[in-house]
Amino acid sequence: MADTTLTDVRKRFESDGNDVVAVDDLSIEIKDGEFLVLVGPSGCGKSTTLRLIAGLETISDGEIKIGDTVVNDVKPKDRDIAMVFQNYALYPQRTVRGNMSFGLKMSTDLPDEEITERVEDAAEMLSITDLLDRRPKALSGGQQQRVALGRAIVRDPEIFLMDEPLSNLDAKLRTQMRTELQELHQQLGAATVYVTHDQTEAMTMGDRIAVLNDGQLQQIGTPLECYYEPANQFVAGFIGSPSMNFIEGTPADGELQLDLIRYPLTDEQQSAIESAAASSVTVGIRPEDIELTDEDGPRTMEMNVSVVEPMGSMNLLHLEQDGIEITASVTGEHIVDEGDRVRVRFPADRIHAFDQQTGTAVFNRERSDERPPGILSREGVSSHGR
Amino acid sequence: MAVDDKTDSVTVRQRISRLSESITNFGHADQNNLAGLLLLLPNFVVFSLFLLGPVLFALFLSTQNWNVFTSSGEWAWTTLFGVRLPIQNYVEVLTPWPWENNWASLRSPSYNLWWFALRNTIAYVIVVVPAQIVGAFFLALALDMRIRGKKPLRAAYFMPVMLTSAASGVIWRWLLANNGVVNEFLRPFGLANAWANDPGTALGSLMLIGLWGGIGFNMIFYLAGLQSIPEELYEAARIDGATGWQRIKEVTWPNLRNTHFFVIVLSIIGTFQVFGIALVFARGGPYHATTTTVVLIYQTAFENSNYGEGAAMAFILFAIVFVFSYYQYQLNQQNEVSY
Repeated sequence: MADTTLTDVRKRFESDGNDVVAVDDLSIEIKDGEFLVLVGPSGCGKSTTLRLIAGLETISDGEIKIGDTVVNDVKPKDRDIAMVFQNYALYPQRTVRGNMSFGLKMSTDLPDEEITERVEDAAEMLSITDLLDRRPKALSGGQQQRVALGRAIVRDPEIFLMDEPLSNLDAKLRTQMRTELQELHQQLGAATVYVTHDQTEAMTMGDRIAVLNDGQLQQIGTPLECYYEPANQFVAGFIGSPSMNFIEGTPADGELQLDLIRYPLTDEQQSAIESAAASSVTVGIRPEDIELTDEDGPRTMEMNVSVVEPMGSMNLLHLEQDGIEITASVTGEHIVDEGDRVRVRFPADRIHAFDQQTGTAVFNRERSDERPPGILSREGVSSHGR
Repeated sequence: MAVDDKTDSVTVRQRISRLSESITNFGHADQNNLAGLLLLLPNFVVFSLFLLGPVLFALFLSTQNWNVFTSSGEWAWTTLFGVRLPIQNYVEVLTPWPWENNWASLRSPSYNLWWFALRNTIAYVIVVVPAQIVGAFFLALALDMRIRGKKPLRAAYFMPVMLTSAASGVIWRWLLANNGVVNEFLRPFGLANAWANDPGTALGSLMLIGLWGGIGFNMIFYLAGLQSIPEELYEAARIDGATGWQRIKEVTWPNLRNTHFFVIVLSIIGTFQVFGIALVFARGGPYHATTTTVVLIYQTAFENSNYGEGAAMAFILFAIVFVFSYYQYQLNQQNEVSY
């Protein structure tokens, strides 16, 4: 078992005589046993990156190393990888057993008994032993995905590559499979690179997340780092659901001149803006950090409720005032109606600011180290490094 | 299963009630029904006039001793297993049965021309259908790759399909003539032959023409089928370590199952009905070597003016093609549900 390293990896495609850069100088180190999620919007280069690691695409520049071997020119079958596809990619004429053993028969010299043993072990791990003699057509989407996972597991690879493997499943099954995949990852211990556009999957599954946009790495870090300390406005807007609200502002005299109010800055925020020499900033605040309040104050403003989306545990309020639109997430226990006028507060310790020119974070919200009541022991520290 | 039975019976009941409703309402067709019927009418008229009508008339003819000059006929009665039936023409065509003369009908046209023509046709089908399918499949594979000039090549391979069979027959009669182009190439090797006039090679030449004419047609279906195979399957096979040939065997071929079915059925129907090229290329000769069933039907009905027997032969051929197609369909259905 060893690390996988991408160094200055670039992938250019030619389209109608023009070069399109799908992956641009990407450098990532995937640690042994790590669950790394590549996340980003459609066309950001995440699947291409995965395919470059798999060897399904050739890289234009840079270097990919799996362990100590540079694999730039190594065939996919010899890279010691296994891949799980979104559409399962099972051979329709082969049984589950045939699908799972095919790769081993093709690329290894293992005796038949060992292949059978590996297939049966993987099938047991995935609870698909009773499906071994069926063909893919006779299986549900979830079962087919398990078979695809089984096919990957039997190869006992250095690294698992998963390209949106849960996208074709229904919401309930997706949640269930998410947990199972994490358990499986812990059981197998091999590194996994998981591509998704679903940021819930990214947040819940990854040891680390690599956020990509336009082929470039925007940020790599633990899910909570990306959530609380986004490196730039793109990451701030992409991670978190509903998305962060953004309001443009200009710093002046220890305050931020927003469209609706003059927002007082703390000393730390003031000095961060000065050291970044940002002439204009975009203020970001997450919907769940906006508070409804009776008290008037310097960080409050009055807005109209245009739409209420009741989600049960919370209400999503779409607020509007003088052309500014923001979303606030408040407790679902209280009744708020469309057309209500409300006063909202942006707490000082909850706002982010981004340089309007470069998009980079000028300062991020404060993050508490406080732990909630009810924790009786401190031994169960999360492996996510949160 | 109980649930299924219930569902089935409910569905059947619903269907029956819907059918009875539509029967009751048939006389009171509203505006929508009338518009629908009017839209169907042109097709129905053309279909009835040019297909259904002639087919029914041919069925009638097959039971008649038809007189071309008076355009009238008499029922061609015969007694079979004590039952009197108007199937004398069918009996005439099929007897003597090939096993009654030690299969001589299949070796020589002198005994029963129907069986000899059927032998020719089946030989033609057995050679041409697999060759067309395998050839078209590999041709489609080659033309699906990233190669230069694949569009003109596709057009070139499809071009014979656009030619009428008569034109193909004439072209090949010239090409394969005693002093035709093909012989000019083969003469230096001592292989020149009277391809169309030698009973030993005439049917083989016909097969070649059939293959040339049909391969482009099937290639189009395979090209379309190839587009529907997900790229991910090939990628999975590459990761699994499958070689190029194994990817064809494991991914391409099995994923074209529906295309295979379609192409096989069309090819069987088409080759059983081979007529134009056979007639133009060698007029069914020499010594009936290229007399296929449809050529025989044509000669019997229109050259010998024996409409009754010609029609009977046509229905026997229909039955054979129907059995083949139905069997193929059943086979495909079994493959579809592959538990």
